[in-house]
Amino acid sequence: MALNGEKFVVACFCKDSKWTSRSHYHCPHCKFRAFTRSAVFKKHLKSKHGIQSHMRREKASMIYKKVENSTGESKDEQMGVLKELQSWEGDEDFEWEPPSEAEMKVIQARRERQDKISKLMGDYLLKGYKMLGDCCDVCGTILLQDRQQKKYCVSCQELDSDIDKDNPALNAQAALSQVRERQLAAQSPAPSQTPELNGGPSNGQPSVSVPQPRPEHCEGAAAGGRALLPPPAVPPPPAAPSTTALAPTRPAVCPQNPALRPVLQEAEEAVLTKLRWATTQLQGAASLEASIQLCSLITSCANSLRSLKELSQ
Amino acid sequence: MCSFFCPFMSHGSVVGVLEAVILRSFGPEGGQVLFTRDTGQAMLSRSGTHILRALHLEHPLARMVVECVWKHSTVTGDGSKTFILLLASLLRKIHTTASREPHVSHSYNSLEAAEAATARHLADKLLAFALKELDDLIAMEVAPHGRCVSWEDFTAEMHSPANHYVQKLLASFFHMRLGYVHCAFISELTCELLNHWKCIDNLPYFALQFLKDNFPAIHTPVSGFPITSSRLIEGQVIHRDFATPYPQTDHQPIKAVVFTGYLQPRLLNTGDVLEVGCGGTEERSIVDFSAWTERSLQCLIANLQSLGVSVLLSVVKQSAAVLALATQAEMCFVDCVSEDELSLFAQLSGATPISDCWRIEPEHIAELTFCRPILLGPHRYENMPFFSLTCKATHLHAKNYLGTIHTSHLQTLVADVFIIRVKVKPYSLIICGSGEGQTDQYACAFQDAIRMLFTTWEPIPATGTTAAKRTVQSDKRTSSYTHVLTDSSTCTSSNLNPLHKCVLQPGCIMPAGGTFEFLLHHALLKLSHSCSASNDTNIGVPVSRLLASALLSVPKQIYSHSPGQFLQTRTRHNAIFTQDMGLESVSCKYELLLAVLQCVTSLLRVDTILRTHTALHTQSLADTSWESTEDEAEN
Repeated sequence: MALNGEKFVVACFCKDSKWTSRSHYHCPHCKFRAFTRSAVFKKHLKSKHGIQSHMRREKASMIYKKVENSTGESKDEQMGVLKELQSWEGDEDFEWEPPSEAEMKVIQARRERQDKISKLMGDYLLKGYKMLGDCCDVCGTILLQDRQQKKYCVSCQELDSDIDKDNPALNAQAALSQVRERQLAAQSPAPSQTPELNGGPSNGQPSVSVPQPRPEHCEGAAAGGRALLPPPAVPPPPAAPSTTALAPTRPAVCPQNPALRPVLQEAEEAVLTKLRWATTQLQGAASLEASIQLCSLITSCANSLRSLKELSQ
Repeated sequence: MCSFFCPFMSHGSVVGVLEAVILRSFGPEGGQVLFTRDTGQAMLSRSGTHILRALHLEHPLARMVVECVWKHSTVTGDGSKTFILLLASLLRKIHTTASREPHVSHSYNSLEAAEAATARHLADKLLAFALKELDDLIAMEVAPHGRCVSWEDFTAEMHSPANHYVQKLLASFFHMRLGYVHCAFISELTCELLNHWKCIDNLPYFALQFLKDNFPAIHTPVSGFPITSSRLIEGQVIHRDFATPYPQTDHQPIKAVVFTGYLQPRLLNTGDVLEVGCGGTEERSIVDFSAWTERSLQCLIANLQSLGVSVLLSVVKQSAAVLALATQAEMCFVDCVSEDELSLFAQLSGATPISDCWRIEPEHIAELTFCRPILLGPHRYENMPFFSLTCKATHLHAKNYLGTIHTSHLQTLVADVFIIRVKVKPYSLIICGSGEGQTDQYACAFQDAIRMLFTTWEPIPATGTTAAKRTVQSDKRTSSYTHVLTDSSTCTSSNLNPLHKCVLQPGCIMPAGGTFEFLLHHALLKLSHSCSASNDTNIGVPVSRLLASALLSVPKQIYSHSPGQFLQTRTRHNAIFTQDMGLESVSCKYELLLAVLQCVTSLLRVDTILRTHTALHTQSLADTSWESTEDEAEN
C-alpha cells in the first residue's frame, strides 16, 4: 500500500514474523508489528500513526473492474476516485528500482503459482479438456471446458487462492488470526526494546526472542540466507477459546526477555501443559473435525518442544 | 464485447501451458503420449506436432502458436517441442527485461502498455539481429565444432565411414521420434532408399527435394505387419487395382499411356442441353448418339493397339464401354489413379499425359520393363476382388512376408508395379506398422527425416536475407560447396568461395544433446561483451545476451534429470563426437531459431483479443490461417 507517495509497503514472506507461509505486511513505524490482512493494517496505520493509505495499481485495476460492473448511486463517486488514482499513477515519474528481497519473494511466489497453474492446465489439456479463449473473471486465468461443456478455472477451483486465505468467512485460520490481531491491537502498545539482530548474528546467539520483524531485517536475513531461529511456541492467551479448538496453536510473538533459561523452561512447561490439555480433549472428542484439529495442535506442540530442546542445547 | 487483458500474462500463460504439455515428452528421456479416440483407437506418439495438433484449443493465441509449429515442421521435419521450449523461454526473458526497463520514450497510459511496447521493440530487435548476424555467428563459432558431410560422402557406399555419419544422424532422429528399438533398422532402410534415388539428377540436393515432394507417391503404408517387414521394392507402386483382367504379357517393353480425361465423351454434362429429334430428315435419339460414341471408342482402341500400347492409366473413372473394349483388346486398364502418382510416373518415364485422346504422339508413350500386380497386406479398400500373387522368384523380399498371406478371399488392396527404363531405377518404400495409426506415424517419421535431410543439405545463401527467401537460384552456388574437406579437421572459411565468406556450410552436423545451444550461448555472450553499448542505445541490454540466456533452457530440459551433467557439458567447450550422443543438423537448428523469433514477434504484436458473437471465418481449425486469426485478434 502506498503511503501518500512517500513510502510503500509490499507483501512479505519472511520468516521473521509468525506467518511464514502467508504474505504479510510489516508496519514501518512499529518495531515488530506485522499484519496479514490489508484492512487491519490500514486501520492500524490510521489509528496508531495517523497515516492515510491506499492501495496500489494492481488492486486498483481489479477494483475498477468490480466497480464497473456494480450498480448504485456511489458508483460514480467510486469511479471518480479511481480515475483520480489512475491519473495520479500516470503522472508519477516512474523510476525503476531493483525489487527488494521481499518483493522478489512475492515475484517468486507468483511465478511458482503461475508454473503450477500452467502444469495443471497442461495435464487437463492432455486429458481432453478444451482451452477456451475466455479468461476467468475472478483471477484472470484461461478457462478450460470439459467434455460436458462445463467451464473450469484451475486456479480458482484447485489451487488455494491468494486472496481467499485472508477471508475470515472462508478460512478458520484466518478467523483465528484476525481475532488474535484484534486482541494485540487492543493491548497497550509498549513494545520493549529488543536487541538489534541486523549485524550478522550467529546461530548460537543466546537470544530466544524472535528476531525483529522489520523490513530491513527481513531483507538482511533473506540476503544472508541465515537460518532464522524458529520462534518458540507460546500458548494462546487464556481468552482464546479453549473449549473448542479451532486451529492448532500458532507460534506467537514471545515476550522479549533477554534471559534464556527461564524463558525456555517456561515455554516448555506451557507447551507441555497445552499438550496435556489437548490429549485430554482428544480422548473426549466426539466430532471428526475437532479430533483432526486437536491432532494438529499436538503435532505443532511436539514441533515446538523439539525446537525448544534444540535451542537449549 | 471487448475485454481487456494483460497481453504478457496471456502470452506467457498460453505458451506456458503448451510448454507444460510437451515437456514430459521432450528429450531422450521423454515419454510418449497415448491418444485414444471415442471409437477406441489408441496410438502412442512422441511427435510434438502430433501432440499439439491433437489438443482442443479455442484460444486464438494457442492456435496461432500451434499453426506456427506445424508450418515449421513441414519445412524442417523436426524440432516442434524445442520450438515451444524456446518460445516460452524467450517470452519469459523478454517479459523480465521489459518490466525491468520499460521503454519510456513515449508516454503510455499504463505500465502494462509501456511494457508491451518495450517487449515488441525487443522482439523486433531480436529478429533483426537474427536475420543479419546469426548465420555468420553460427558459421564462425558453432559450425567449426561440427563436421561437414559432403554430398559425395552422403551418397557413398553403405557402411563406409562417411556414410556412417549420415546413418547416425538418421538414427538419432528416429530414436527421438520413434524410440530406440527400431531406429537402427529404419535408418538403414532410409539410407538404402536414398542411395537408390541419389542419381536422380546432377544437382546434389535435388534428389532429396524430389523425394521430399514425391514422398506420398513413393511410399505405401501397409498395416498389420511389424515394422521390421518394411522393404524397398523395385519400381513404382500405384495404389489401384486393375480395372480389367490382367493379361500375362511376356514381351517387353510394355507400352503405357496416361489419360487425363474421359475416353468416351460423356453423354450429358452439367449445363449441357441435348436436343433430340430436332430438324433433319432422320430421327435422332440418344441411342444413336451413344452408338456413335462407342464406334469412335473402338477406333481409339484400335489406334492404341496399332501403337502397341498395352497398359492404360487414367485419372478419372472410365465408363463400362471403355473397360469392355479394353478387355476385348487385351489391354490392362487402371483408373482413378491419384494425381501425385501420375505426376511421378510422368516424371520418371518422361511421358506426358494425354488430354486429347485423338492425338497420340510418341512422347505420350511410356516404356516399361514389367508390370504386375502385387499384394500388399490385407488392406480393406474398395470392394475389389483380389488377385493371386504372381511374384517372380528374384523378388524374394516381396515374397517373404507376403508368402505368409494365404490367397483367401479377403478384400484386399492390389497394386500394380512398374519399372521404368530411365537412368534411375526407382524404388518404392513399403512401410509396415502394427496398426493404421502406427503405420501413419512411421510414414510421417520417414517423411520428416527426408525433410530434415533436405534442410541440412540445402545451401543457405550468403546474403543476410531471410531464410524464407531461399530460391532455386541458390543451387547455382552448390557447385562451390561440393569440395569441402571431410577429414576431422575443422572447416575453415578458406575453402569457401571467396565471394561468400562465413556462410553456413550445407551438410554441417554436430553432436546432439544441447551442444549447439551451449556453443551459440557462448558465442552470443562473447559478442555482447565485445560490442559496445552504443549499438542498443534505446534498450540497455543487448539482445544477444537475452537470446543467449533463453537458449540455455533447451539443454536444461534435456539434462533435467541430472543437473550435474548439465554443468559438466556446459563447461566443455570442445565438442567431442561421443558415441552415446546422437547427431543433429545445424541448419535445422538455425531455421528453428528464426522461426521461433518470427513467432515471438507475431505474438507480441497482438494487443487485444476481441471476442465476436458470430464467427468471422467458417474455416475449420486445420484450415484457419493465422492471417485471419491475427485479423480477428488485432481488429
